Amino acid sequence: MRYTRRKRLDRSKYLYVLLAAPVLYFLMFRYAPMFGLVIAFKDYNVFLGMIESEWVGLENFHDIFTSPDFWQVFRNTLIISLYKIVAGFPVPIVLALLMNEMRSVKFRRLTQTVLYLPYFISWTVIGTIILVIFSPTTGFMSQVSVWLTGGSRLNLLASRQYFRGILVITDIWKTAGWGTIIYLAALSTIDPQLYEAAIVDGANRWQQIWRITIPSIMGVIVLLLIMRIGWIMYAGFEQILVLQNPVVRDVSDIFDTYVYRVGLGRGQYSFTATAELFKSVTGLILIFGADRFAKVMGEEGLL
Amino acid sequence: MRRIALLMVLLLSSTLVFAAGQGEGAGEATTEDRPVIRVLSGGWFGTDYNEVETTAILEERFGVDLEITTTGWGNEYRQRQQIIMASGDYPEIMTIDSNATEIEYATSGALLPLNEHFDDYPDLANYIPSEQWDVMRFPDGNIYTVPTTSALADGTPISQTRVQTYRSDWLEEMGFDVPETTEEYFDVAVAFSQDDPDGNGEDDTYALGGQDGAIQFFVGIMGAFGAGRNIWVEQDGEIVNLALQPGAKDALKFLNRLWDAGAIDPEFITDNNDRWRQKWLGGVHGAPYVFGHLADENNYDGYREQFKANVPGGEWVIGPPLVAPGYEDVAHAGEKLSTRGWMRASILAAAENAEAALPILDFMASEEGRLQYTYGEAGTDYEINDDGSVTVLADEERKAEYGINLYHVPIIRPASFAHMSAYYQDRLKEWEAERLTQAIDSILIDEVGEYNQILEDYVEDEFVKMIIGETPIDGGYERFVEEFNRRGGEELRQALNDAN
Repeated sequence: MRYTRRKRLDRSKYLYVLLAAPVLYFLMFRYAPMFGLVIAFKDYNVFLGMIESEWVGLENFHDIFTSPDFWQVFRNTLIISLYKIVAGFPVPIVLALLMNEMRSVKFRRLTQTVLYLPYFISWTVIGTIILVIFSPTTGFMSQVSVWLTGGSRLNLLASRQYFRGILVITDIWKTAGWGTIIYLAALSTIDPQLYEAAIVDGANRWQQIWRITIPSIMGVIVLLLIMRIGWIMYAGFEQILVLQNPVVRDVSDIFDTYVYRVGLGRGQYSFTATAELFKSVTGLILIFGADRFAKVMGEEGLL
Repeated sequence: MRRIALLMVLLLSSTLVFAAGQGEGAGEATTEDRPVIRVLSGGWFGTDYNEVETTAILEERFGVDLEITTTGWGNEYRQRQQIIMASGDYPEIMTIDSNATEIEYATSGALLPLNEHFDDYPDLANYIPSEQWDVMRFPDGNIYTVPTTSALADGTPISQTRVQTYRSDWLEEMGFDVPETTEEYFDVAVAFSQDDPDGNGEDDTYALGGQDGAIQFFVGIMGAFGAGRNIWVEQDGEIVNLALQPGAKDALKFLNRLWDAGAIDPEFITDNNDRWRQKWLGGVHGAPYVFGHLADENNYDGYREQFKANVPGGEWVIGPPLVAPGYEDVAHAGEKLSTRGWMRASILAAAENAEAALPILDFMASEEGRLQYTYGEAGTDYEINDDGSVTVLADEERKAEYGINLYHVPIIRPASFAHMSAYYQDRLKEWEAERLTQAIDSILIDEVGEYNQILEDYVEDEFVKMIIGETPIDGGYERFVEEFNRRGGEELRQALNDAN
């Protein structure tokens, strides 16, 4: 028994060596920084350092839960994330299905490239483009708002009514194309015999999609949805940081922007570390919840 | 062979990880033995202070290596500052631009008490009169920061250079006098934005604009009502906040009227500093509350030259502080900037070469250092006239190369307006006389650090929403006052009055 284990170990030693680098990475950059969370229970002072700072127990949690900003930030994070999931999650699926049906390979490749492109543009650049498009004096979108409403030109970026919508639409525009990759990969694994059999049975294109394509990639869809829900507390830091302005701050301030502004701008590290901790725990609960839900619904789940 | 290759990969990856952790410390050693003095400060458009001649002169004179890092000002600067402080890799010299930050750092023991070294550095000790050092002094008796000072040619101290300005060519063409009341301002503002003053047939001009939705661009108008931003001032022996003054609601209503009339550039919320600047230079705004020196004939930072190139017939005039009907008896020019200096130089006690930074501050505080940094070399770059005014001889190229910035010195900023036109100096004096002194300046209590930044952010956000009508002012202003007090406004007011 002992002999075989050693033999097995010996046989796969290179695999363990390969494994060492990622394990080291996770230990150093993912697990070690977690000790920083102690500042959520301290009155952290940058000059005293993490060890010397005074312990305050749950005082930071009390401050957070009684702060008027906190619940607003919590609500915004959930709402913006949910909008993005509801409106944005199906888009890459639909795009992938459409591309899958394309007959011309050349045209399909071209479409794919064009759709991927926005993913590689940084939010800073997109932010500038959006400022121009939405400019209340010269922008195209404000002209559209005049045509639609017949009113005067609006600064849509400074409108609490439209701002979240702009966040969702620009997010879809940037990420939807890239999101199709996994679905396209899943689509390519479907056995063509299924389609051939369906055609023999007289199924039309629509029926083929509905009866074969979608059920075949359902597992992938559920998997991605669970992972997406795990990210629900991350509602798009860079995007909001770039597009936010004082008028829409109360409808768009999410955990990440709040922590960035208050933690760094005002130097309240303990307060914001507490908010981050809350955010992470909530995210964890949500991902377990989504996984359990998927299993109840008869899908494979993640864990 | 395969084994060796694998070993190499492993070794390489582990060194990489190690190097990533060590990189910062290793890069700091210099080939020579000169101590490195790192400077962190806010900066100005595109100047790299490491490249200019004045920096090389300082390095030579004191046998040090200067590493000057500059960022923008305001929140951007403070965020950078906090990240650097949290990293524990302290610069020797650091600019501080808020009382809250100063209180936090000073009470944590992070700053070097400068007064303990005054005997060795007389120029630093004599930089400002002892009464003003007393304003800088903390309750523990120590002085931790050196304030920026600014003065006119005759020595009058000046804190704030924002004034109400007007396009005089537009006023003349449209038959207006320079406005003195808010009602007169309203008529001018509407005409400037609606009646096509630049005559290009397009609706592309406004009375005033701004950047990032900041309220400071409206202080000239709020001042007419005796109100303002989140600024604490002393009135009749009591410390009160300008945002809560009786005139504040009327001021917001007036601004909202201007907004509805289309007189305020709707992009003031989303424009950044650069876009705002391009608009000013392009003649888009005709009656803004801005730095008066932008249009001064001495061509500050090339502003006037660029403006003239874009708008050949454009001329500017500085108006008096506006007065709103019913608010004749209040001070109308808003607040002075802090008498503790809107930026201050400090030395971090824990920095590696903290003591080596003292002679540099001492030199920059001396008459010689101040003149050199503000104007360059005597005789070739500037001349001092008999009345104390200064004539600048250096051209733009020389200024850039040498590092003559006229005001923008990243270490200590002894700004002088002695080279500005007599007209500008007179107007500035007129405004300064009506400005209110900030009460917080002489009261350095912990509550300031705890609440003031929160309140400032809150006032900025809520006022913008009321100005553009996102929040109705009736009812909305009252809710704002309630929430302001709930967020610490009332506690801070009481603490300030108790400590006063």
